[in-house]
Amino acid sequence: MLNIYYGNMPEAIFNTTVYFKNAYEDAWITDPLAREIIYDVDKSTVLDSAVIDSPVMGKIAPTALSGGVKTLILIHNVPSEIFNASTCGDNCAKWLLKLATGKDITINLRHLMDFGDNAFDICILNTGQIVHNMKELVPIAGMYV
Amino acid sequence: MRGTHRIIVQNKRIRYDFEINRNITVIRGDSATGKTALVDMIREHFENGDDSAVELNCDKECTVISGRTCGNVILQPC
Repeated sequence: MLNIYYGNMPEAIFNTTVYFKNAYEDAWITDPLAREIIYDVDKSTVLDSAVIDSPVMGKIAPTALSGGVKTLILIHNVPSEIFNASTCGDNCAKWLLKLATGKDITINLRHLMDFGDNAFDICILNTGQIVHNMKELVPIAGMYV
Repeated sequence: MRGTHRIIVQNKRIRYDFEINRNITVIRGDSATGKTALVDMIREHFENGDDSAVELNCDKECTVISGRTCGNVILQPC
């Protein structure tokens, strides 16, 4: 289940770019799921743990990945922390739902991310309500962001 | 802010060319669409000038205000 706390959350890690730069591990980059995410979101191919081939920027280090990808990789690999996922664009929403398949993940959002037209299960921690689509989500989350 | 301002920012691989004409313009979009790259290039040009290998053309000075020092900045009308 994807659990979302909307609004200011002091215990969440706000600057995921800085956290990633100082905490990432090589294995996180070559992980099959990370490769999929990097290819889908950044349109880039992981060559090895230190080099990613970007169609725009050429050969880049993991620290040059997009903020959204770094946040997704952190959420996947550091389950003990709550990350600010407002660093992710809407193209990361489906990955947040996938990461929460079969396990509980908690994120902090400070904006209304669009989770798309398909049904989903999201627990809005501010009220404890579980929502199943954007029509249910927006009126509740909108009270906090 | 008064008037319309065209901003061109480019390096060897990426070129941005756009106009702004409001006091506040919000640039938003999906992840990996170049938002951070634009800000980084403007910052690098402001701090290093032509030595940054970033070309920036605008009739007004462009800089980046970010992080905890944001609250200490007083903006003058241009």
